[in-house]
Amino acid sequence: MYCSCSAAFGDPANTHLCPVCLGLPGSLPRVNRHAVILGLKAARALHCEIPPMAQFARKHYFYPDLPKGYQISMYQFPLGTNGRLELLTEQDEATAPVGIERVHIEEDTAKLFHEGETGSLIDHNRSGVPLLEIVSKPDIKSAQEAVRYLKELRRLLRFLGISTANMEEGSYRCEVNVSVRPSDREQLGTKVEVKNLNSFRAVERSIEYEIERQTKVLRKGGEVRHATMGWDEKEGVTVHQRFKEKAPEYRYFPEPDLPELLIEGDILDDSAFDQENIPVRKVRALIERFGVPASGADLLMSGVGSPEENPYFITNFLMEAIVRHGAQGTQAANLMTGTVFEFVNRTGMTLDQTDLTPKKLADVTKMVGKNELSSTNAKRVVNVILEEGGKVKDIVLGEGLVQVSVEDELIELVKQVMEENEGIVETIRKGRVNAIGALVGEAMKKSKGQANPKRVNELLQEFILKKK
Amino acid sequence: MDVFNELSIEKLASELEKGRIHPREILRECSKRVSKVEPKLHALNRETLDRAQHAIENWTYDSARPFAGIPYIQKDNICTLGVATDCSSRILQGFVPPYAATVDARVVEQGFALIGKSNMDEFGMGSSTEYSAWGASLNPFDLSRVPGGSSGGSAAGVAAGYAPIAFGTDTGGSVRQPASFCGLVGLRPTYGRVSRWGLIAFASSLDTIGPITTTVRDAAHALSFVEGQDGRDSTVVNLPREDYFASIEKGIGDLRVGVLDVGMADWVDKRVRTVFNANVEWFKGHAKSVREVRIGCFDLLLAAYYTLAPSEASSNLARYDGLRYGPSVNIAEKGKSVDEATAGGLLDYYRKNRGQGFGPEVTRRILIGTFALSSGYYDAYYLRAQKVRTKLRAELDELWKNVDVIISPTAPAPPFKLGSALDDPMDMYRADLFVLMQPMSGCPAISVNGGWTDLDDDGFSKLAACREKSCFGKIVSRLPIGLQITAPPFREADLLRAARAFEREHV
Repeated sequence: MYCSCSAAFGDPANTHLCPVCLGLPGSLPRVNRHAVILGLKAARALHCEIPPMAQFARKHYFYPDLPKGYQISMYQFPLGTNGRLELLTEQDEATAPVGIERVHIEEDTAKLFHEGETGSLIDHNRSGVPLLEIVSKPDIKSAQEAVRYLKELRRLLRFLGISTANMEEGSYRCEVNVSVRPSDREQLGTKVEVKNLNSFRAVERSIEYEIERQTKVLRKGGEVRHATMGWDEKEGVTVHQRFKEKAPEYRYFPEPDLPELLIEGDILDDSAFDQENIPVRKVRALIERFGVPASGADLLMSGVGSPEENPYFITNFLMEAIVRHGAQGTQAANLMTGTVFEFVNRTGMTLDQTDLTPKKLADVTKMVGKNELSSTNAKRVVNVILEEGGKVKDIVLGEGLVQVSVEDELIELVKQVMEENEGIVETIRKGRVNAIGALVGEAMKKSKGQANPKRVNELLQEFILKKK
Repeated sequence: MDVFNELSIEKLASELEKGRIHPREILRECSKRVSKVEPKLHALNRETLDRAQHAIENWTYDSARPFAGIPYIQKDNICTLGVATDCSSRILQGFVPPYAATVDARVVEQGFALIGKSNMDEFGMGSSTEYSAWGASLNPFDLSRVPGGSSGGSAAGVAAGYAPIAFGTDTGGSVRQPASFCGLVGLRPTYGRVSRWGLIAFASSLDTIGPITTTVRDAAHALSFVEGQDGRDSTVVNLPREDYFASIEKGIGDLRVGVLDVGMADWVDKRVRTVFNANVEWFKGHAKSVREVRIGCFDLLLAAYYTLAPSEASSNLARYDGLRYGPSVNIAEKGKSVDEATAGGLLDYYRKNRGQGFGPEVTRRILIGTFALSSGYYDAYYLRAQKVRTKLRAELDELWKNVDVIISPTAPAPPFKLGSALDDPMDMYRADLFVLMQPMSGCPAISVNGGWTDLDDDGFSKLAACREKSCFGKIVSRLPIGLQITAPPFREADLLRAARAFEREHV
């Protein structure tokens, strides 16, 4: 954040060092402009109020992983305040957004490895790496909502190219503050801080545990004390780390080695971005405007199968198929989330490496719409294009996949099937309607899969159940 | 050799150019002085004469680097690559910087040869060099008196002829006051002129690096080659280069001079007043105009400075814990395992290292600073002290409309006796009364020798021991008194020409 050492994760210990991130006597910080731009982008994506000036501040405490004895962070003047993260429910319905208290940037500490008997080791590679701190307002009302918030936030950060936001690599960390209060009380209860959360599951479990624990205390007539707890994953409990009677004494004051950051001109320009271009909005557009089923929309926005640089590749592909080439939204989405994703997950390829194009996808769905192709065969066609390449028409004809939909032919087929399976027809007439499926199966066999199963089913029902 | 009696980089460069001397001879003469005088003077923490010898080995004159081969002294809080730098503190004992301060790198680039790192008040905190962990340096004019501080070693070394130039750091007068106490020129540049990269921080918003020289022109040379952005210090301003020599001999016929009126109360020694009054008379005879100026918040400066500087110091010194550099007390306890040595836990480890590593004045300031920054007190102390700076700047901005420079004595008294200001910390702080206005406003200032005063009876007998010859080779029975000139931010050109005009007629 304040020097030009690499921020890469996973390299041998103490190989990305310089006087600045080591905090050597006489060293001075220099602001990383790119980190500021990314921070501002995040603040704007979260609808924060962007101030005309931000200011770095020193936050003091003594610990071996903090080389200068203070962290250069931000205090009074962060990058953004008073924003919100738009969320969708599991049904992908819009839900009340979660408020964002503030967004600011700061530097990371070194990493400590506790060796037990022989002492602790310090790896300074991580020291000075830029961190983006996003603090939510106390709007989240359940453990599940917290996890949805974290997932959506992570998606936003990834899609905007701000961070890889990976909990396993330590590029996405969270601390939770939980309080409970009686439903008729306005004022928030005393909050308890929970640290050492290494997964979404830990977040969810720890919140539920704390809610239960605090509720018990209050029901007994006790008081919840402000404390910092550590989450014990194995035991599934929160454990006291220390009692904080009052806030820690960080002795914040403005960083004298860094002038104020004026947020104007090229910094504003370089962090500008299109508010519609955030994952949540894209998901809603897919559902509302393009008829994509809700479950599919979220999956499409997972970034799976897209070239690394563009997490929106899949959705843009789909939208092009729909808007430019007239694909049927639901069909196309289902083919993407089904066949395409399955292929991508299996082979490890990305969609742009295959022969499938938005137009081809559209052509397939159009054929299904015209009943020229069954949905089952549609999947097959797409699969062939993915695996081997080729044109839609060629594949359909070549593999004999043209669907028989001509009504006369179908009626003829159905009559044949009924004649050959009188026993089953009887059981259906007697009430076992489900057995129609078996007849549909026979029809499909007889037609070598080319019959339109839907129409066959309808015809069977008409002939068997309506004729008396 | 005459030139050695009044070492000056300009004169030496001229002799070098003409081929009349070789850097070897300069170094030999300087080494002689060091060996003769240093045991008494204690101006240096370490000598690097061998290194200097090596540096001048293949010297030939190069007009692009006219000062190459000339010795210099670096203050021991400025990082020198591969040469121990300990700020005269136990907690940094043995610290060898793996990088060079910008100022030092630029000096080395000019070809100067480092002959030693100078003693100082620990971490720059002090006005006498008595707060050095390695013992005080003495004043070459009177070995029973202090050379000033915190750059006392630098000033003493130059005054004793070890080298024609030294660099010091000025946070609350620490270049100007020792220059004044040793009869030399000391320049504090505008804050934001010279990079602080590699300067071991004391108070980040007040620290500057400046030269201590025997002539004003030398100071101008030094400023020219160390100033300017380096891509590492974000507080250095981007300004076009100025040629100080285009105007330095111009004289002050067009200069409007302000004389600082501080009521000249009891706290200004009458000998200083005598010298200063004479100085004022001189300006009256040469400047365009001379008038008295008052700083309304002058009385607040001492308290404000001694709130801000310790606050920033408590922050800048937080990194010294014995973990990464400097001696670590616990681990050094032989025969103990790491576990035993740190049995008291992390906090105990910190307490021992810092407790044993820091001297009394540094400890005092860290405590004051920590208090002033803590919640509940921040607004009342730190914030208010910062507001005094704003007030001061506003007042000065008004004054600068009517005057081009402001003059005052550099110190309120002549060099004082060793030990005389140690009983009450406030006594030491009051030595800084005239030199705080500049750090608190960012203005540049220079101290030149304004005159002399006789030793009082107290000092006379002590001096008898080295009465015949001082380190200069001159017979000295007087103490130097400094004249300070202050200019608006970034107006070093005016500062230098005013100082030069004065010097021309006084030295």
